[in-house]
Amino acid sequence: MKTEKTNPFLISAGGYFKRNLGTIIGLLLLCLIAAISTDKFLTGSNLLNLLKSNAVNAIICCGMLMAILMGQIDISVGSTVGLSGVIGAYMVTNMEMPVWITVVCCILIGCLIGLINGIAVSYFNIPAFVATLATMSIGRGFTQIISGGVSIRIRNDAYTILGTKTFGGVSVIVLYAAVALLVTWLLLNKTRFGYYIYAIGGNRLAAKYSGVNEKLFNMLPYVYIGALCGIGGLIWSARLGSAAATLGTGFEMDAIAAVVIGGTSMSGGIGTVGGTFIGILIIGVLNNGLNLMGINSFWQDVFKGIIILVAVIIDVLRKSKARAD
Amino acid sequence: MSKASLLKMTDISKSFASNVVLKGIDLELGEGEVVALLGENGAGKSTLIKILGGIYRADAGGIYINGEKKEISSAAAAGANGIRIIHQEIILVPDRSIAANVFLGREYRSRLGMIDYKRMQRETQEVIDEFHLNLDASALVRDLSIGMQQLVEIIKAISADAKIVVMDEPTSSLSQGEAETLFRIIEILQKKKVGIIYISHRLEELFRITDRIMVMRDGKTVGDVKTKDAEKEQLINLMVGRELSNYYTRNEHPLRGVSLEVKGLSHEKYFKNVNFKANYGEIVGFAGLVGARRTELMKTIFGTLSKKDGEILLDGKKIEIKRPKDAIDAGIVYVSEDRRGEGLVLLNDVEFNMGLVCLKDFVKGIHVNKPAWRSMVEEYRKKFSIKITSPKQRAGLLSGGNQQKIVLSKWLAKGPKVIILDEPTRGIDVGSKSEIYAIIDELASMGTSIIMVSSELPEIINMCNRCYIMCEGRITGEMKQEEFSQEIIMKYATDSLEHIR
Repeated sequence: MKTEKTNPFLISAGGYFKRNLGTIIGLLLLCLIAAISTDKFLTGSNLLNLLKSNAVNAIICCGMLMAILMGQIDISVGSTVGLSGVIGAYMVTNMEMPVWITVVCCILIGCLIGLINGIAVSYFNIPAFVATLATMSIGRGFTQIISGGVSIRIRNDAYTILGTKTFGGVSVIVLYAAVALLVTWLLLNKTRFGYYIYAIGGNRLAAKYSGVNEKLFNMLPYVYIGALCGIGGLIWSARLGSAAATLGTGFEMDAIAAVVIGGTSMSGGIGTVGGTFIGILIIGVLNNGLNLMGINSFWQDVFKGIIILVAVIIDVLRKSKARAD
Repeated sequence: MSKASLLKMTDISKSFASNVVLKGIDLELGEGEVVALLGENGAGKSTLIKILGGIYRADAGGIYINGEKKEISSAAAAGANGIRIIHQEIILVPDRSIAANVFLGREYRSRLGMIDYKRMQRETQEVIDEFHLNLDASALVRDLSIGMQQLVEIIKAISADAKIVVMDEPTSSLSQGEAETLFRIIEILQKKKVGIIYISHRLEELFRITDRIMVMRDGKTVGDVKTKDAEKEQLINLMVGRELSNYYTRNEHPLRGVSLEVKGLSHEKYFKNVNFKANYGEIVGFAGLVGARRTELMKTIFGTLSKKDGEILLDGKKIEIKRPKDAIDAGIVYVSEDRRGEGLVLLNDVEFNMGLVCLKDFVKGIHVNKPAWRSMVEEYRKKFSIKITSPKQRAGLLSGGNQQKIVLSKWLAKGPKVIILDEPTRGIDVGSKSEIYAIIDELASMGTSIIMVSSELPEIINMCNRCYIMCEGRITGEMKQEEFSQEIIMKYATDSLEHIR
């Protein structure tokens, strides 16, 4: 199992398994079903491919986890990925800008959208769903404007290599995802930033009365989410070698699903990177398995929706039971 | 004063809109001194404390710490000045450890900027051990009893560099043993020259641990006595001694037999073995202090909370109430104390709100009988002289008195047998109050059975035929009209603890 990768510190592997027992069993069951249904599933190349195609989702999930930990949400992530990808492609192709400037710009664009989300949610008290719905539409609009509604072909090897390089068969984007998960784990478990996110999500008033600048620390995670989406867009367009106006469509769905399946409570305060990691794998296996079985992507959406509903219902039932005790 | 002055609040005033809550309060606190703040609900204690804690800003007056004038404009500023408030309700992050809660807002960090959990855990454990509490600093707050959570709040407040500690009803959720622990903590703090402001209704406690008692009433200081010179009777008189106004309407009505009877009703957490009876044509009061669990009892009867045990009988027949609809169908209605939160749809108009309960009566198939609905609204507008310009006026914009009349209309249109009024005159101006009393009296004359929860003793004494007094989830006394006295009711509501324990 890859679980030890995200949790080499503090928590013993045993505690980790125990805490995420339900989702781990679910993951193994899914793998079993996939392996039985198609002999293509349990091959080295397919498993590597599975990791690669879910790497960007993992990066986005790192941010989504923070939003949901605060009892909020960010549905603008897919649109931000699209915007960053298209801007990246446009800058290196149409404007022939150096790659490093392009990378910095894409990340800054992500941060900017995150900043707008954060200010709207934290300082103007706009419900996160509404604020990020608005920025989602804005981002999508700009993506169309910049790309002119068509796909931009990227002809710059220095750029595409950011998404296509491999190390011993492992794609570089899997490494990006691993770094993002590790950094997020550190942020949440080892820094004041993470400490406050849990406090705000668990009991906002407690944070405020303890002298925490709860508005600032409610805003900052959105900037982090935005930066991650900026990186996600870069990687995705580099990997594909092109950026379409529809890039990133529906990414929010996979991210929310993975975080919620990973045991994060929609009402905030409870959730871990380790749990989310399993959620990401579950979504990955689901997508991959259904693809291999030749079931079309529309059905995948149906299944994912059902899984989110079930995961949230389980969370709510667990909560109300805890209250009754 | 013998001890060096630590805190001085002078001439503090505060109003919310037109409601004057504090009228020039002075408070002084010395090093190592424990001062009690005593007063009825609504006397302004909480507001005063919130001003000290930086949650509200005073309209006028100054705060001096060690003789220096300070602006306390935020919770953080209060904290920086060594002020620690322990709130009555528990404000902790449930899914984090004790140590993480204790250090929230002032956590230790290593050179790399990483949170130093080990050190926080160690220091929290040291404080826990210093006070001989049997707790593990790494335990989740969620897994602790309410009393232990309250102690965690206290540890959190004092483990930092505390100079002034405010405790708002700290023993309200503590067991006897936990309360003893608290008193021990207070003694240790006194030795460390920490000043403590202690709010409690339990006079026994005040006599035991405080040096001075300051009594507040209606936003003013009405007494400031050394604890060793104070007497219980004198304090109660100071606390309740307002003049009884004569704006009550109360006539004799014949009682018409038992309506509601509650036998052995218990709730998981809030109350135990409650027994009482109400009659048609009678006004039955429920007196008590905050935390007596009167509202929870009434909500259980109405079906918004679920009972653990016991029976509810109406007209001698046992009824099962699982949800409010069951209660309403049986003829029992509940007028919430939280008018704006639970009583009205503030954004909608008067007509909408009045029709909410008995909408079914105006609807046949897809046809809404608008004229009937309108005339109902008009009937109650006249009857209760509700001041509205049109039935389409937004409910949220009306005064408290008019809002309460609308809520009453909404329920009365259903023609209930039993009406439970929870703090029916809270936040209502004097004129409207008087009108509400007249409505209540008229309802009784028509034979409605009325149950009135009220924290205003004059209201209970002047309006009720009979009253029950509750304390911490139990009925501790029952009195008839001819026996009513504020002093005895207060005794039941505060002192009764000793009889129980």
